[in-house]
Amino acid sequence: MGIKFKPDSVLRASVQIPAALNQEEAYLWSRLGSPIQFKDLQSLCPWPEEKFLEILKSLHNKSGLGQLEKPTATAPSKSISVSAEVRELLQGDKFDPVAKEIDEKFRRECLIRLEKSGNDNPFENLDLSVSASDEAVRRSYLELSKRFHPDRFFRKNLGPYRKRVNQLFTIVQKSYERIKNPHDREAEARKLRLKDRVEATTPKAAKSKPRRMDPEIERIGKAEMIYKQGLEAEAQSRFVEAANHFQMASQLNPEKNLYEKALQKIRPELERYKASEFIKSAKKALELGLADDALLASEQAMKMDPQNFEAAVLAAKSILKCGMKERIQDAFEMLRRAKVNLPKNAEACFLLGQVYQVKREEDKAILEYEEALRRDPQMSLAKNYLIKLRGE
Amino acid sequence: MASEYVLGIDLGTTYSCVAVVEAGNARVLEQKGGYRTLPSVVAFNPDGSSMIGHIAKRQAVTNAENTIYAAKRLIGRVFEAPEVARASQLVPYKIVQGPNRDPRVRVFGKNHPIQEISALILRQIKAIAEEALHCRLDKAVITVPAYFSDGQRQATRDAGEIAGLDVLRIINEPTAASLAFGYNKRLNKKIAVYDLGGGTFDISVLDISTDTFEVLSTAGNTFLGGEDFDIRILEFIIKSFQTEHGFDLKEDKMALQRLKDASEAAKCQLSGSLETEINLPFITTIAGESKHLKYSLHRAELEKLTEDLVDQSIKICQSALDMAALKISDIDDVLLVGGMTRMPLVQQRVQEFFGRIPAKNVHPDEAVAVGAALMGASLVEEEAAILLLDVTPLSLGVRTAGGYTSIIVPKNSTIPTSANHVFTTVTDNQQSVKIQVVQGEAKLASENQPLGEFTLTDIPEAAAGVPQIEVTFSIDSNGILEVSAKDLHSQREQSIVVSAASYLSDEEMHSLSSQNESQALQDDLLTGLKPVK
Ligand SMILES: Nc1ncnc2c1ncn2[C@@H]1O[C@H](COP(=O)(O)OP(=O)(O)OP(=O)(O)O)[C@@H](O)[C@H]1O
Ligand SMILES: [Mg+2]
Repeated sequence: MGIKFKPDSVLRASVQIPAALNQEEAYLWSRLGSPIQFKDLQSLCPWPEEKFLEILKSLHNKSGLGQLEKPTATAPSKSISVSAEVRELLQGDKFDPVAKEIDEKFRRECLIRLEKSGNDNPFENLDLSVSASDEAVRRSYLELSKRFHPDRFFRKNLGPYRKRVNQLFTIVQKSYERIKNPHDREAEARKLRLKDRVEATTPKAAKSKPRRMDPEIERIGKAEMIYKQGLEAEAQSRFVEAANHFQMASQLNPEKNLYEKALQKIRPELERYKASEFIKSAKKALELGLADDALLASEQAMKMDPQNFEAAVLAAKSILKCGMKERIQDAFEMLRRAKVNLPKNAEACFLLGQVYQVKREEDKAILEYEEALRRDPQMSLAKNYLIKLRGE
Repeated sequence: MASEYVLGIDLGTTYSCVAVVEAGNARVLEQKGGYRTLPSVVAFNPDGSSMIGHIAKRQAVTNAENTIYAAKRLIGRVFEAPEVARASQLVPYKIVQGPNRDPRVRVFGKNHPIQEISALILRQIKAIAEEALHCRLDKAVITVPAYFSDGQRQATRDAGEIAGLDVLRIINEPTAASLAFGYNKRLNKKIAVYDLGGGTFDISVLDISTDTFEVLSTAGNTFLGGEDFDIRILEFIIKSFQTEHGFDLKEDKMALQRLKDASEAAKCQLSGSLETEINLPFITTIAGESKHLKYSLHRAELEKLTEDLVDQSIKICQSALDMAALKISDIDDVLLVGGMTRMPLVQQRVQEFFGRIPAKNVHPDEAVAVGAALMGASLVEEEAAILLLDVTPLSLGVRTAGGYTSIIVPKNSTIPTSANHVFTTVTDNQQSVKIQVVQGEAKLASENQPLGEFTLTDIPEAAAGVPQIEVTFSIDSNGILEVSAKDLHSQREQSIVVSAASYLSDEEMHSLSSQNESQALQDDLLTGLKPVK
């Protein structure tokens, strides 16, 4: 019971998910995912001071809060167990004469840091707690910049570690960019707390997913980057590119359903675009006399975009070209709809005329050819048929 | 084998300087006659041989069309750049278009790439250093204006290579000056380096904490320097002469060259005195009659003619501070670098703007070379003595649909750095994707500097938009771009074909280098260098 909190003591929840927490305790617990100062924690909670202390104490009794006097600097070299991937890579180094020239401690540190960078946590990347001071941020930044600056290894042969060291240097720079000014730092800290809370409420099983072997792939960051590029592509109406980016992003990071949603959102645009591409290839196929292919392509286009009557016209034309008697009724339906929906399209009428001729309904065919000519007075094909039909 | 010395070379628009670190101390290497800087001037003889430095500058008047100066204003630019057009109007030598959209100088019917001109100067510098240190040297750190683009850096590095140098690093001039200022002094301060040279202006804001030199921001203008001040005087006098005699001196190449030299001399004079005289007897002949030119110029007149140039530089200082998110009061020291900062008006305006007297302990002509030498020594040492965190001055981007620039690495990012971008195809079974890379801040890609085009090839056949090719743009410590690509589906490296704007082809680099080698051998015989220890 005797726990006392000073405003600047740093708190952190135990790693185990405590058993029965009431709603308020759970709320508080979710905010303790990464180390946080007592006063920051209090400012995040909606309760008056007394109530806040009461909840904090009961939470402490149930789950045991870690209390740290100073902001933590969790140097990863000292910390925790090494993952299987890292161990495997270190093992592999034994057979690489170049890697053996750099001392093992440094190699291990590189690998662990790279792996951790996948968490996309700028504080962690700089060995800092979320409540680190301006001075601590800068000190850590300079120290780590020095440790991984490529100039330090100017004349050394680092083998595969050259790339890793460069990558780590960039990670240090980018992390620092994100938290160097207090305002951004606060925002990043908030983001992290939110993320922790979400993770705390997701069942453990769902969280453990197969991890990629390659520690150099920062999966989450990459997904986000690809997503952003997708947004950019979308803004410029490059829908295929956008869709592919969204899909890629959601494959990389399936937990984030924002990506999937983005994909769903642009699907209609995408379908429309794809339809227009299919129409292009259908036209090409018709030009080349490949009516079968043209029919396939135009039907694909219709499937993508049922409102695309140009596709319908092409499909009907292909049917006629193939001479597929059994599908003449389909062609007829398609053309009728196309004629109404595309009031300027002469070809739909002409083809309809052809269908009527196949059906031996010459009168109706004449009407259609006339309509075709009204829509496009230059259409010589229609003219010829008209002359032929009237001449009889 | 060459020695372990690393030359620090300040390859200036108008003057160059070389320094080296010996037993922990940096010193400038002198030429015969005690000169500590070398005019960046190359002159050609009809037989193709060349003169470099002081001799070249001295004979410029009688050989104006074959004397190349201020080559740095052209290096690494594309021929269509407005700066090249402006330079063409101002110099007496001929500038023509080369095969890679690069400008070349035409002398005695032969087109010389700018890299070759700079290489000739560098080779001379190398010879000066070898003579001063009595040994073979080949390693160097060369400086460039901080605001130089990728293309300009690359071309400078190529020039070094042609000159037979192993260029360990290209570093920025103001950054080098800050090293000369702060090395081994255990400082803890923020400084601004104002560098106004013969051809370029740079301002960099740095945070020095003991051995770490972190550039917070940099800004500048690669076409603003002493030459522009000279031109103002020159044009003023041409105009006065025209009203007096009705004759345009621009038509007389020799007169123009004499006047240019006299203008620079007058400018320098006016830094120390309030009045000077420009006296050029027999400047030209009009209708068979010799004319003499004689004007007196006051400092106040010069200031009126050039005030706007100084103001331009001050405006750029403000934007550098803004980008570093600093107030004027955050700056603990201001350094003045470059010969032009000797002009009283420049000193006065800088002092007014920063509200403090600039530091006196940097040498405006030598600090850059000294800093480069310190950097070089630090690089080859076992434990680096200096940590330099420099930035890229210009944003790097690619052209996207509609001709817009999509920024991939924003300006003022700490280098080395890298960023990824995923590209895809737009038509089915497309086998290659062409990517245009540009540098600059303009929204429209066409208004930025073209760096080159990359073609991703051998893309596996697939429907449009399916291939995902991740391109990594890395900017190395020299500020030079490298590109690699990977197919995200197969995780295989993707091949890339680079066709860069304004660079020299490999063959040309090779032929220039070997040409240079044979010349170097000749020189060896002449100067009788001692063999290395
Ligand atoms: N006393 C002086 N007063 C005014 N200007 C001077 C003085 N001495 C030199 N300069 C000018 O300084 C310029 C040369 O400066 P510096 O040698 O620093 O430039 P640079 O290194 O050749 O050029 P850059 O750094 O732009 O490539 C010339 O324009 C020269 O006229
Ligand atoms: Mg200079």
